[in-house]
Amino acid sequence: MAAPESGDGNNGAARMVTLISSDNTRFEVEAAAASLSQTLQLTILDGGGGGGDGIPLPNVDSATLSKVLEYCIKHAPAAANGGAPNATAVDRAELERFDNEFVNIDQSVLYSLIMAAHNLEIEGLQSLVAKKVADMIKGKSPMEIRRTLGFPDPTPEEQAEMNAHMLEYGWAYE
Amino acid sequence: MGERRRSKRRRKATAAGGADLISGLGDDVLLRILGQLNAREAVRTGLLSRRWRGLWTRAPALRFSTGCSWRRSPFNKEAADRYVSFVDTCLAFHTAAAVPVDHLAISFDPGRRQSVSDVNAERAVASAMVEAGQRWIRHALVEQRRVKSFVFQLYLPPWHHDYHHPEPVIVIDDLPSSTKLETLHLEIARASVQLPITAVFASLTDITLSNMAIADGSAHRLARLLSPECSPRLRKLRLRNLITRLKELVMVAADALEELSLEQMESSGCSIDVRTPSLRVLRMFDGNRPEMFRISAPRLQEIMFQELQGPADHIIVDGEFPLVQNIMVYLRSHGYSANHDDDCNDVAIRLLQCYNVVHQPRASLQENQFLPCI
Repeated sequence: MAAPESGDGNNGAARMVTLISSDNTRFEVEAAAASLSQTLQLTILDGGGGGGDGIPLPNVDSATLSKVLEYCIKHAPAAANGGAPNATAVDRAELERFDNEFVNIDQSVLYSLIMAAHNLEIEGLQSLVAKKVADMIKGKSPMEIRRTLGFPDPTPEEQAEMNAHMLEYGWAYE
Repeated sequence: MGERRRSKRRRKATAAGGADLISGLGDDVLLRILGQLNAREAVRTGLLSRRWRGLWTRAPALRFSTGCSWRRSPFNKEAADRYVSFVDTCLAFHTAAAVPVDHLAISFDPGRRQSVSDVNAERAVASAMVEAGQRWIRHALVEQRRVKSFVFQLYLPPWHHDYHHPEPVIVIDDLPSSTKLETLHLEIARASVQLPITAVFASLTDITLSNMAIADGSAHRLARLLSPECSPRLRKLRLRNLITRLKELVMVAADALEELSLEQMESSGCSIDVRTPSLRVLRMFDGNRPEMFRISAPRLQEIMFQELQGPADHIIVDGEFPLVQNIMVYLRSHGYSANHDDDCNDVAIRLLQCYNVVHQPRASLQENQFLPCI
């Protein structure tokens, strides 16, 4: 492989950027990892986030941000290879194992993660969390879907509307 | 299952922080989630609340499938009818929402038939399926003008044909052109298909045609569909178990073609001419040998040429395959038709000769009953 273009202009040590969560915790990460976020990528390309400045993320708390960065750090090397066409099957299997483990979390954490992935526009993470929620819905009866997603049991009024819906789409409820 | 137990579970869900947190997410996030589901599951989310009721109609993907359990379960006309009406209803609502679908997949398999019961009833179901199938294909390309990927599978029940009841034909000859369609997969078992006459698919990169017969007298439309005039950006072509009645399969000006796979093809009597500057992968297996096979593919990396039945064929290789890394050919040592024994390995040997120039050939021989003694 030819030497990759180094966007940071630094030889040797990778360029670092600082991200600041909504509760004012500072996270220092490699620019390459933070750049998985489309939102951050532009700022970083403009030279932002270095030194004492830091990029404030008022919508992401520290617990969520640390989780997001865990994902970015793990996926940054593969992303740097342009979607890793030359990644070995072992590497891919390892990433898949990591992903499965990564979304094995409480729903409240999952939803914070979904919002953060969406705000920061991290494509891979957005797909991963969307797939996780979809998996929670798959193969379930309407009542099981409600309970899994934390919806209260329907009121009689809602039940009547549900029955009408079920009639309209009969086959979906067989 | 008393009232007590239900309310207990409800409290538990709330205590676990479940409490409908998902409704705090924006529509675009929810649509991404819905896009991962099949239509049955997506529609079921319509029961969650008023906000969810019509949300699925704006999802970027719609996947309809009768499900694999149907294949094992007995043939059921009523269930097939309900499925058709479900798909029609969903498509109508989705069209009304006027949100373009990127990916549309419809699979229709009415199930295994129990016994030869009522031939007329079976014909009636097959006719209804053909009609629904045509309607859905047309819907995909006429109503959903923005669809990027369209996958259609139709498995008709066995057809008892005679003079008055010829084999069913799916007529899609008047499909319009599309500048959005990128992937087209059609699998239509036990019917023949009349392909489009004039449509042009300017952005189509991936075609799979499987299990179907090309309607009598319309082989030239298949040739046209695969030609650069109709599909100029075709990169990946897979033809599988296709009755083409083609005398000639010519992939000559297919400059963009990277992968060509011909599987279980009735190619006897057909001459295949593949002159493709970008082709990387060529797979031919489990079918008949073509009458003549001519290939020029300087960028080929992988060749699979296996288990083709029939008499030895005629192969012309123009140039070499300097980039090939992976080659799988099938050599017979004995035991085939007496007439053709002498030259049945010719093609494999010819391909291996072209492979000679590779820097570090890594040939692996799989042992089987036809393994030659080298």
